[in-house]
Amino acid sequence: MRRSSGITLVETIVVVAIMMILMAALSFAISIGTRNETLGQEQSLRLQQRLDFEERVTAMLSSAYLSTTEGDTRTYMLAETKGGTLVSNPASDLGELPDSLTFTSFAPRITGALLASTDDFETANEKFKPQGGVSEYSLSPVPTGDAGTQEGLFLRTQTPSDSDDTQGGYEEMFTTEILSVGFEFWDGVQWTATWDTFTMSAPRLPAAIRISYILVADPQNTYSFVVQVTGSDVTPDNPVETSTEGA
Amino acid sequence: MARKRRGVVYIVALIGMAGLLAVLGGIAVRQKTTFAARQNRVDFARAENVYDGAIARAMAELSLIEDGTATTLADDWALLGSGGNDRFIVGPGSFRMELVDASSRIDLNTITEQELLDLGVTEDLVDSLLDWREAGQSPREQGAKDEYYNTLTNPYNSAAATFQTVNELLLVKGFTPAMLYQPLEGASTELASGDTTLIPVLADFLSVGSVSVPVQPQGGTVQNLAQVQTIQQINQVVGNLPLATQIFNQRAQFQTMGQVLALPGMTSAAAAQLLDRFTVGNAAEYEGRTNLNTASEAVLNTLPEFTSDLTAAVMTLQETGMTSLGEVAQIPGMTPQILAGIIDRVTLNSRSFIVRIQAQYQTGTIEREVIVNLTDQGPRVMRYETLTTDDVVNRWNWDVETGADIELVPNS
Repeated sequence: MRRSSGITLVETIVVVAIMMILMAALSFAISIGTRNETLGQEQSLRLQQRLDFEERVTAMLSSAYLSTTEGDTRTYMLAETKGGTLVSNPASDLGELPDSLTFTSFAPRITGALLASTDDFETANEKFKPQGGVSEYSLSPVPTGDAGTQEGLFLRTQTPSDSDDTQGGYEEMFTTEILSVGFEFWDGVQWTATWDTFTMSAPRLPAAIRISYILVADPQNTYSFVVQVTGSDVTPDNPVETSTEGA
Repeated sequence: MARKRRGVVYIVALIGMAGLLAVLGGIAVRQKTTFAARQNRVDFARAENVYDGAIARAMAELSLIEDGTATTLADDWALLGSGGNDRFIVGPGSFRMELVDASSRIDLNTITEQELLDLGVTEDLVDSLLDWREAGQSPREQGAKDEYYNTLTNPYNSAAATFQTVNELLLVKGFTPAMLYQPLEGASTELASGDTTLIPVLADFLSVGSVSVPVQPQGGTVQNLAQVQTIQQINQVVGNLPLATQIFNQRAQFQTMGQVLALPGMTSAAAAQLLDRFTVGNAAEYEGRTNLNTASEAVLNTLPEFTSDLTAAVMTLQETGMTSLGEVAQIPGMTPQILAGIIDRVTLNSRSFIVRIQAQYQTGTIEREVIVNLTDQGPRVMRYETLTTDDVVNRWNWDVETGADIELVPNS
């Protein structure tokens, strides 16, 4: 009896059948996986956008600074409505919230590149821009300068801060991922939608700031987070007395 | 030929498996990267929580300081964390901390031209610094006002007001990070100990907004000289009628205690008695005074007419701490003239502290310097600065290796 030394037709058919089953299973798994990953990526991206935004705003606001020197007008905090798409916080009854916030802070870190540089003063100014001291920040959906067709949340940074809260410094796109933003302030007793240290007889910082925002990628939901203002002396026992608004 | 065919099937199977593995490997790498990014973010957030615990611990310690009492290096706050070398364990996280008396430094807003020169700061930089903190638009010979700053590539106006933070110096004409954060060269503050590692960088010599309160002698309070009614009140203290008469007659004109101590015929004994009983003005607190109980050798050397012997005598007294200004007047080598030159620049207590914290949680590390003032409502964080350089531990003069591990556990 002569024994076949090659592969038989049956073996080939079995191998091909198994491979087809495996391929079908694999393609199904990849299809499901790809769809899930796409969904997951979208959710992850939204989460990433939220975390990025919240971390950056928290870093700036938590170190907001108001000088305790009487008559010092170089430090301030001012909330305004400049006409972007306004947002309300579903958790409060304050209605549409101010969409712009200008404040002073120690937040900007001295860059490592500047610290390591051996440049003279003027060269460092040219390469690294002014650094150190107190900076003025302005977060607003309405740019101070001409932003062309760009839309988003703009950040104006002026170092050092001066007594003019309306202009100066450098403006950049803070994020294009935010559709609208609103600010509320804890005055020791309640949330309020106004804060203006220029009109306060004794200027103070709020104990906390609640930021509500809507993502471009998720316009159906309003997200909120609270930033504790480290340098504030406002407490329930020592509230801001001029507050007239409440939640 | 048959062997060749079997080989083909084997190779096809291998290629198939390799493809499958490549797909799975790609997914795994991407997942790993995503996970690592998330883990870093979580670690950093948890390091923030550890930092919160650290600053709360520091505030709790500072809240125990009694108002008006001397602030010395033998106090509990000064010992907390063993100068940054203890490691406080909080679950999987940990922190190191050091509390520094902000009044142990020289205040950037009150430092004089001569003190700056003594520190090795060059005349052009001194001019620029003084111009920055003074009102008006007329610069000194080598200084600068708006006219100069407005010509920079990235222009701005000069403050023409007090400094709000030490690193504001980086905005002042001529100052670079090297001048602020590297050891001072040419400073006339050579240390008797010869230990050059104790010569601080300019940034560590200086503070902004340090606060102290009038020193009250034990068992009594000081009285404003301007409110004294009779010569006898003063004479009972100084035991010298001509001196008492001078003081009484000029009591309404004195602006500073230094002017009182500079009167002819003043003795160390009389000065000691005067300082423990009288003051000039009604200030509830002072800004920018240097605490003799905590100042370093290098800082003491910058005080006007302080000799190395006088500095050494003060440092010896720091071991136990001075509680009254009368003790300062009686330091060996302290003449009424030297005392008159420093008395309005120094104090024995402090209400401002710098809290240095390094908080860690696995890959997350946060290093901050926090300014805490003692207020009537308790300790209050005035401001903080997050540091970004990779040699913060060196800059703070901490040992790289930590000392004792102190495990913090929740109250049961």
